Order: sequence, then C-alpha cells, then structure tokens
Amino acid sequence: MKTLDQITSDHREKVADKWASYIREYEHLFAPFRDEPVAILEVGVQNGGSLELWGEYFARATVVVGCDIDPACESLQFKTDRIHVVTGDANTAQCARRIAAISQSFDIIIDDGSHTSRDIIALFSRYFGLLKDDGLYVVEDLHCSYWKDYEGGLFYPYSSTSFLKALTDILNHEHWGIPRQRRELLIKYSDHYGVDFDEDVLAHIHSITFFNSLCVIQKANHRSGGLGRRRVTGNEANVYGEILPLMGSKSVSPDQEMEPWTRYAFSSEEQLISRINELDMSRHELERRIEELSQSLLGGAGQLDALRTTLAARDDELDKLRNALSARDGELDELRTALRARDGALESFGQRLAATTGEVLTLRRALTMREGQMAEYANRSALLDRLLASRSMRMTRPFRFVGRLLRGEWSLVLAGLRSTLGRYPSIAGVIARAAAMIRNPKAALRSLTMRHIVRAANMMRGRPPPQFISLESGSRLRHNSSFMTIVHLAKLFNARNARKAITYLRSGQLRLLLARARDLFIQTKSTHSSCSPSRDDGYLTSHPELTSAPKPLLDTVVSVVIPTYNGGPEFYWLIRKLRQQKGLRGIEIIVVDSGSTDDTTIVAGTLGCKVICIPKAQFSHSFSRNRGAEEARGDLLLFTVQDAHPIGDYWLYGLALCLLQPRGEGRLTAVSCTEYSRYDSEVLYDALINTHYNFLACRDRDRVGVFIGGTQIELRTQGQLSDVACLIHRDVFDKYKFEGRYAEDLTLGIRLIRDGHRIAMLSSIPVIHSHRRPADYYLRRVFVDVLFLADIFPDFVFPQLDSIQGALIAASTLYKALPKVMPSVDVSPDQALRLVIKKLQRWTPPNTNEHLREQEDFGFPPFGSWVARVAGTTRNMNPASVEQSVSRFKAAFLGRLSELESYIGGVYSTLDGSLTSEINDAVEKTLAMTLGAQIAFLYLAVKSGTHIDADSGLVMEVRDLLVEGV
Amino acid sequence: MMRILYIVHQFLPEFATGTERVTMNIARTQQRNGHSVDVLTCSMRGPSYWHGEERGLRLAAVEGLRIFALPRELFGNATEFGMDSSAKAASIISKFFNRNTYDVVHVMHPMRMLDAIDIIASRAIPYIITLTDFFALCWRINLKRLDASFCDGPKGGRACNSLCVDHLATHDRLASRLHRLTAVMSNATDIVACSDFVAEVFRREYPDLTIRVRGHGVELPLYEPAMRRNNQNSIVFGYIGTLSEAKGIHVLIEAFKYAEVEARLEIVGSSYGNDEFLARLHALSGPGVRIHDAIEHRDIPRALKSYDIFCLPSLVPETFSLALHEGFAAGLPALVSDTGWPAREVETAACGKTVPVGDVKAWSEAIRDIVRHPDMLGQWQNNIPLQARIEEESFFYDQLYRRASSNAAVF
Repeated sequence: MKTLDQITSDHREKVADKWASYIREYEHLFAPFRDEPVAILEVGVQNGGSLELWGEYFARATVVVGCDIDPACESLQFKTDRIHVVTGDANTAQCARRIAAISQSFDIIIDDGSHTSRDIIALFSRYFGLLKDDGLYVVEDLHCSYWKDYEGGLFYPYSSTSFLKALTDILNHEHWGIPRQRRELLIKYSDHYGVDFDEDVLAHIHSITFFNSLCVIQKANHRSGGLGRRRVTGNEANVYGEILPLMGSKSVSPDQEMEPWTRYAFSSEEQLISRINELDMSRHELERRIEELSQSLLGGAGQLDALRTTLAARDDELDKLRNALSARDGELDELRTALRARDGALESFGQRLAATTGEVLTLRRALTMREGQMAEYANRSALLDRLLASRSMRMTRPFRFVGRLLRGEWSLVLAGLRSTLGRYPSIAGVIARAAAMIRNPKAALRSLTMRHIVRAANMMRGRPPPQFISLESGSRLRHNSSFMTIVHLAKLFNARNARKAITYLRSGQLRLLLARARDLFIQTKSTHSSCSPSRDDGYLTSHPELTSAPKPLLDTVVSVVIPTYNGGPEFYWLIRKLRQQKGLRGIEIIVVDSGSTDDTTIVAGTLGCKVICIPKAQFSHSFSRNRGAEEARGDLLLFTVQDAHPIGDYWLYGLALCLLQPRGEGRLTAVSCTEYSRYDSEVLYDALINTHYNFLACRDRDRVGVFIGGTQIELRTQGQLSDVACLIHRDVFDKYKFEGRYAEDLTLGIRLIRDGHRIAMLSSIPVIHSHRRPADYYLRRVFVDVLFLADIFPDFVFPQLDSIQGALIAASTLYKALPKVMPSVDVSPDQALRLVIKKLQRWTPPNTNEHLREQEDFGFPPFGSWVARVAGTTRNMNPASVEQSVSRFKAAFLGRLSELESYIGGVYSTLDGSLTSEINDAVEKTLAMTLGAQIAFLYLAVKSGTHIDADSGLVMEVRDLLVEGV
Repeated sequence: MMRILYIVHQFLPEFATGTERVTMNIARTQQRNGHSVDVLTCSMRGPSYWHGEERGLRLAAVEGLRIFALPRELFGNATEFGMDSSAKAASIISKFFNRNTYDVVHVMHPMRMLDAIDIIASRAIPYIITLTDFFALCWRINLKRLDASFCDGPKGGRACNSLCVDHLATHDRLASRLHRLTAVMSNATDIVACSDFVAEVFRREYPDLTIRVRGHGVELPLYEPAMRRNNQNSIVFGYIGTLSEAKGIHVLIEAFKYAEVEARLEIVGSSYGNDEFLARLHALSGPGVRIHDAIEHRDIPRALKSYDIFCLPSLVPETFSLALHEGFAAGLPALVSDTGWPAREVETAACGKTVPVGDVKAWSEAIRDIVRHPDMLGQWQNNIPLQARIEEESFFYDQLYRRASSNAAVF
C-alpha cells in the first residue's frame, strides 16, 4: 500500500500543491482514518489535484468534497464519483447547505481556502460543528497569518494564529476558576469578523496541535473529554504522603473571581487593542488635522507668496518714486538757485524801496501836517458857523447893527441888512423883534444862555473857552467841576436867580462855591501844566484792601437784591464773589428772576440765595427791585445787577463803612459805585461812561450829592445813583422805594436829595461792569434817555425838528457814506477819526427820497418795518423841513463824533486792527444814537403839540417799539 | 487820565508767557478805563516780529497798545542780567523819554531793562515795581544755584559770592548788581509781590521796605461754572504753558508713561524755538500722551474744560503760575511740585496734591493714585478758591498809580 508521500510523488493527473511537511505530518495524522469509510471536506480546490490524492489515499472514503470560490472548478472532472466539487464561497449559508447536501458530517475537514484570517475563523465557526467526534480539522498555510495581506501580523490580535492559540484556553475551560462561557473568550473575534461560536461545539475541542504553518484540532465527545479523575498508583509515599487520598478525585479550580487577571471582562490584549484603536482613531484625527493644517499652510504659503509678489511690486514703485524724487530734488536745487538769484534782485529792489519809502514818509508827514491845518480850519469854520447861527448872535444882531451904524461901518451895515432880509420874511419882522426887545430888555437879557455866560467867564480868566459838546439835551461840559462852578457863578449873575443866589450865600453855600471855584482853577492849572489828572484828594474813602488799617467787623447785615434774566456764567461768579465778602455780620442775597430760561435760578438756589420768580411781563426795573427789597431782612440794602462784579473781598465792607462811618461831615443815606470797565469792554461804552462821570464829577473823585437847586443839571449831577451798585439804609428805602419804568436810580437819588439826604457816587470803590452793545441798543437807549429827561425835568430843553423823513434820510445816507478807518502805523487813532469827521463835514445829502426806502434798521428789524411805513409818506415831505432836519442831524452826529475823537485821542496812540474795528463800530453806533435822539425830539414835539403834521401818528407809534426791552 | 508806561523784559508779539500776559491784561484794562498806555520792552527774536523801527527802537501795536522794544543785540549778557550797563541802550532810551512823557511807570520785570529804570529814576518819574520772580535778588532768576541746589536768599550778596560766581557773574559784577537793584527797589514808589511766597523772600533781604502782595487776576467771565466730572470717562491730566526743562514737562511725561494707567495726558504750549527739548518730549511720550502747539489765550478755557486735573511739575519754585490759576478758574484741582507758591496754595486750600519735585517715581505713583481713586478729584474741586479777576488786579494798580503820580496821598 502506497504511503501518502508515494501517492503524492506518483500523482500525474490534476495538479496538487502541498508543502512537503504537510504530507509527512498527514501520513501520521490521517493513518487512523485510511481504511475507514470517511467523509472528507477540503475548502480550496484549485486544480483539484489534492482531491484526487485524498481519493486515492482514502480508498474507502465515501465522499471527498471540494469547495472553491472559483467557478472554473465547476468544470473539473474526476474518474471517481466519490469526489464532489462545490463552487462558491464556503462561508455562505448557501454553499454550506450545498455541502451539507452531499454529506451531513465529515471526518476530516481541511481548510486550504483563501488563508485570510477572516475566512479561516469564519470557516471554523461554520464547519467545526460538522466534524464528527474524533475527527480532525486541519488549517493549512498558517504562515499567511503573519502577513498583512492576509489580515495577519505577528502581534495582530485578530490573526488566524491568534485565534487558534485562543482555542487552547477553550480547551482548558474547566480550570478558569470563574463562571464564564467559552464563547465569551472569543467574543473579540465574533465582534471583529461578525461570526458566532456555539458553546457546545467549542466544548468538543479535544486537542490542538500546531505544526509549522499547520494546525490540527481534534474533536471529541466532551463527556469523555476533560481532565478526568486523578489516578494515584503505587504504595510508597515517603516524601509527600498526602497525595494518596487524592486518588480518583476530580480537578477543582480555586475561585478566581476576584483575581484581576481573571475577572477582567477583556483580556489585557483586548484592552490594549481598544487603546490601540483609540490611539489609532486619535492618530487618524491628528493625521486629518495635520492634513488640514498642511492644506492651510499651503494656502498661507500661497498668500505669503502673493504678498511677497505685492511687496516686490511696491518696492518697484518705491524705487520709481525715489527716482522721481531725486529728479524733483534736482529741479528744486535749480529752483533754489533761481530763488537765491531772485532774492538778490529783491534785496536790491528792497534797498531802493527803502530809499523811496523814506521820501514817501517825508511827504506823508508834510501831507498830514497840511491835513491837520485843514482840519483846524474846518473846525474853526464850523465853530464860526455855529456862532453865527446861535441865538445870541441872532438876538444881538440889532445891537451890532446899531453899533455899526453909529461907527459908520456902512459896508457891514449893508451886508447885515442883506443877511437879515434873507433870514426874515420881511423887514416888519425885524422891526417887531427889535421893538419887543426894547420893550422888555430884561427878557432879552434872560435869553442869554448858560453857554454865553460860561464862555464869557472863561474869556475873563484868559482861558480858552471850554469845549462845549452840542448835545440835544442841552449844553454839557466836558469839565464838570468847572461847569458846576460856572453854573453857580451864572446863577449869581442871572437876574432871575438873584434871590436864590442870596439864599445860597446865606445858607453857607458860599464856601462850597468858593471851593469849587478853587477846584476849577487848580484843575485848569493842572491841565495846562501837565497831563496829570486832578491832584487834589477828592475821595471820601478808599478801598479797604488798599490800606493796612484794621478792619473791625461791622455789626450790620446787608441784603443784596439782584434782578435777573438769563444771568449766564457771570451771575455765578457774582454770587460767589458776594458770598466771599468779609467784614460784615451777615449777607443775604435775594434774586428776583423774571423768567430765565437758563439755569440762573438753579445757580442762585444752589448758592444759597433767596429766589423770587416774577412773570416776565411784570418786570420793570422798579418793580423787581422793590419786590426783592420787600423780602429783605438786612439793615442795609445793596442793589446790583447780574453782570456786575465786586472788586476784592472787602468791597461791600468798604461801601458799608462809607455809609455807616463816613469820612468828613454828614451822614450819607445811599452810596453808589462808579463802573470800572471790563477788560473786554468797547471803546464807545468807555467814552460814554467817561463823559457821564465827568458830567457827574466822579471820574477821579468821590462825589457827594446834595440838593443845590431844581434845574435838571443840578438834579442830575447831584442826584445820580446807580443801580449797578447802590447801597442804602433799608429804613430809608422802605419810605421811598423805586419809581418809574426806567432811570429808577436817578429818580430815587433826586427824591432823596430834595428831601435833604446826602448821597454819594464813589470812584474810590468802583464795581466791575461794562457792556458791549449792538447799534440798535444805543438807538433805543438814547431814545429812552431823552424821553426820560423830558418826562422828569420840566426845564429840559430839546431842539425843534420839523421832519422825521429828514432825520431818517440823513441817517440812511450817512450810514452808506460812512468812511472806514483803516489800520495804519502812520496815523494815530484820533487822526484817523478826525479824517472821517472831515469827510463827513463835506458830505451833502442827495435830494431824493430813494434813500429812505433803503433805510438801515441798525440790526433791529421792527424798526426797519417802521421806517418802511414812514417811507410810504414821503409824498407829504416839505423839502425845506427835510433839509433843515438833515442839517441838524449831521451837526448832531458830528458833534458826537468829535467827542468820541477827543476821548480816543487821549487814550489811544496806535491804530492796529482791533482798535480800527472798534472805532468803525463806534462810529456806526454813534450814528444810531444820533438817530435815536432825533426821533425822541420829534416824538416829544408831537406829544407836546408843537409839531403836528401827517406823520405825527407814525411818530407816536414808534415809542412802544423803541422803549421795549430797554 | 494818566499816561502809563509798562516796562517788561519781553513781550508780545514775540512772547506770550505768564508775565507778558499779566502785563497785557493790566495794561489793556487801564486803557479801557481811560488811561493812555505804552509798553517798553526788549526784542529778543529779531525785527521780523515788528512793524518797524524808529530811533533805535522796534515798534509794534497789539490790541491797541503801542509797544517799543530795545533790540537785544545792543547789549551783552552781563547787561541782560543787570551786571552791566549799555551806553548805546541808555542813549536810545533817554531819547525815548525825551519824546514821551509819562505820569507813572510800572516795572513788570526789570531783566534787560535796568538801564531804562535808571533813567526813569534819574528823571524822577514815579515807578512801581511788581516782583514776578526773584530776578531782583538772584541773577539766576529762580534761586537755583550753579550746583542746582535751592538757595534760601542771597543774604546781602554773601551767598551769591560764595556759591554762584562764574565767568559772567564775577565778584565785582555781583556787587555792582546788588547795589543797583537795591537802589531800584528803594526808589520804587510801591513794591508789589505776586504772592506771599515771593514777598517773604524779599522781606528777608529788604526788611525795611514795604512789600505789598497782589496775585494776578484771570479773565473769569470766560470760564463757566465747573461741572462734576463723569467718573465713567478716563481721567485727563493736563498742562498748559511754556515747554521748557525748568517747567519739568519731561518729568511729567515720563511719570505718566511709567504709571501705565488708563488715562490721557494733554500737553499744550510752545517751546519758543527750543526744538531739541520739544523733540525730547515727543521721544519720551507714549500711549495716551499728546503734545499740542500753543493756543490763543482766548481758547485756553475751552482746552482746560477738557481736563480733569491740572499738572504743574516745575523743577524750580514757581512764584505764582497764571496757568495754574486759570486751571482753578476752570474748576480743575492741581497736581503740583512740592515747591514754590503753587505748593503752598494747593496745600492750604486742599485743592490738589503736592509731589516731590522732579521725582518721576513719586509723580508716577501720584498719577496712579488719582486714577485708582477718582473721587478725590471731586473733593479737591470743592475746595478750589475763587479767583480774582483781571479788573480787580488792575484797579489795585490804578490806585497805586494815582498815588504815585499825585503828591497828595490817596490813602
């Protein structure tokens, strides 16, 4: 009988492919089955050679079944019908059913299929159950299990060899010491390959034998399997006698339930696999991220490349610009060279210009001198004109005429006659006037004005006549102390006031008169000898902070009353300053607000003031102050205004001290402060306040006001108080209170002095206050002032005007003709203004009413509307009246400008941009003031019935318009 | 009406620092109140600033004031500091007084102008002198010795002779200067110091002289009532004034940088041509620091309104500091060096904090402290004293002028 090896060697039919070692091992393994009627299954047929070998070797075999996935195997033909070939995937149920249809069970099963771990393990799970007990299950070519292509690897946990090794633990299942099924040990293969194992089938594993690349699993009945009983034989157990009782015993495994290496649900290998899987996943994730980052990096690199490209392009552009710049530098150098050449030429021209400028300056000085002479001539001419037009000249004209007749000055007589005849409608008028004067020489003498007397007095002293400023309100002197002296002298010489003069002399006023006369001469002397002001001590007091004298506390409380309307920041500073006043027992502040829309009342309340709110319509200067005084609890009342500011911390102390402990004789009832102009004042305001204080005789001294007479000049100069700051005994004020809609301070002062009180205006303790007002304010303010003077003073004399149209035409055309002052280093400010006056002196009004239609409203539109209505009445104009009004307007305006010029000349020496602007503004505002006065005169004339014409209604209407808000 | 001449060491249109602005304020207000006013000064920066030249003096007109300026190039450094005389300058000034008569002269600063003051005295023109710094005592002006230590007074010249002699200030010149300035002080009708701090130092040197004290006024109506700061906003530290080393601006900027706070530092002013120092300031500045050019004085209230606290880091003793008082008018508490009048004012009124002079670390800590505790600003603000107005200061001088120009005593 041939051995398997011989059969294999002799085989010449279908090709068989087996390793030599397999043949050698099979010789021993299959020997017990060679003569048995066995059924054999081999998976993996290929050419069918091995099936022929098994058919020949197992001669009594009932079936030899081969199964191959290759359909070509279908065509294999064998000489014996015992050999069957099934084509298909043996690991499918269909194929398994076909195999089972051939034979229900097998004695030997040989796996020579795909050799992949998956197929080997799956095949075992499917076909080991078909193996008969004691049968052999052979797995060939296990070397593939170490190769990756066959799902293997030396340490690959799911390789076929790994699986087969695990079966050795299945074999020893009874010793595990833990109640766990066999199949549980294989669960990782179940999970990994999707196969299932039968616990009972696994229990039939009898042995597992490994050969090189070959594994043979023998199956047996499990009931006969196992370790069996212990067989102890022999009789001598001298070393270990305890062994004898174990005879026939079964193996008992100790409980390993608590042992970690046993109770793990998974083997360490499985855990390792799990971790490896996790790590693999992480690795994959990291690889994915790395891939993404690599892509990003590639993208970034792309962008970087793009930026590099852009940068290179910019560098190129920069290079081009540098080149262009270099080219420009070259051009600049050339230009600089050219410029230096031009500079040289300019310098040469400059030198020539300097030489020429010198000549021009010389000529300009000569011209200025000529202009000065011309201005002087014009002034003198104007003065002469005024003199000739004056009342005195007119009234004395008959006497001069008679004198000339007597002296035989026939040519002058004839000229006078011609002039007189031209002035009066008829010779009868002259005769009538002369007759009247002869009949009543006393009246003629009385008609001599104060101006004539003053001029005569000055001429007697050998002093040039004082500069009278022609004001519509009468005559006003620049040197007020001189003026008052002369007033007294005039009173003495005036027959009508003889009785009063005697009364003066008797009442001790002679001393006062003499003192004033002395002042006049001292002042005159001072004025002529130096530019210093009066050097006599005309002060009642001095500011307390200028003395080192102790300042004992005054046991008095002062109530400060302030009317307010939108006080702004200055009101805040005023209240803080008042709160800081020292030296008094107490100060209370009462604010009477007439409808502020800003935070005036809040500020007042916050700073501890008593706030009284009144409706705006209820406001008047008198009412609001009286209302505040009603609330006052102090011993003294201080009336002040929201934009005033005390000087120093002892300002109020100084005023109170003057009131309570006056220097010199006599108690004072009230004291007021002069205004100390602010840093940001305007030149017109400064000039007006200067004139006003000169009029009041408190410019450089303190003035005590007493009643010296009832004329308006006397009352105004003596009775002036100022509500900018006025301190008064409360008990006195309660008796008098303020009266009138405006100028309430002056009327209070006048009422006080009329009743024998003494009041003072102090320039020694002034208060900071001044304004910058628009032109329309000046227009309205002057209108109101004139009305007030006429209202209060019966002897207030105002000139007669004939035509409102004339005044408006004059204002309109003059406004358009106003020459502008320009900045100059060669002309002084007063010279510049004088030039303006000269040009205006030559001005003649156009004889058309067109200008009235273009009337300037001075920034006050309601006034413009009123003027337009007046313009509509021009058909009623009397040309002669208009001409006279225009002429009067011009004279009044120039008079005011002359006064301004005089002030500016005394203060300013150089004409820069800021002063130029101020002067031009001042000229416009002066024009507005003149117009305000002219309208007021006409209004007064209409009101008194001395002027009645078609425009009277319009004139009356303007009052409310101009009074509002002043 | 009086004719008044102001004499000052430098003036507009060239310079507009504290003393110049004070002079302008007083002069303008006198003019507003009917006095005729001129200014005689020294021109430091060449003819381009001036409208012309007449008989050796440069001429300009600013805000209605006529300004005459003696060219600086006429005399040397010794004359500038009052140690010598210039015959040429004296001749020009003498002719100036031949052409112009004045009732009173107000010397606002005698530096460079001692020849003029000598001529005034020789012509018996009454003059008043205002002490705005220590020039009349110290040729180095600020009582800071050559070795940078502070001097407590010349002690009749002994201190100068031992500690402040150099090639310019020789012993002979110092003696001559002392003699001359003692005469200037003694011949003045009135001497007025701008603060108690200045008056005290001078009184120690001249115990027999009466020295009045009158602080400078500010244009108060330009300032609105101070508002409480919004604590949500970052704090703004501010300085307005001359940008010079003596003012310690570099210390302030460095300290602010080291403080590293969420705040801003605003610096406004002119270096008057010291470009090197200005460049240094710019180099020092970091985040939050802004340096602006000088602004018109009318715009100062608006600038101050944007600050929360005014800083005055001067390295020399300040005698008054108009800018600080303008800050007070704007309701700003102050952070000042612990020297001079500002330190005393701030400590007395508790309206700010004093910091060791020149100590960057201490300034830095003070800045941090304020940023950490902004409520302090409100407390300090409550204590700020009311400032005097320009017109109050001007009226004070008006009365002195009357007294000086009149034989009769006004008070």
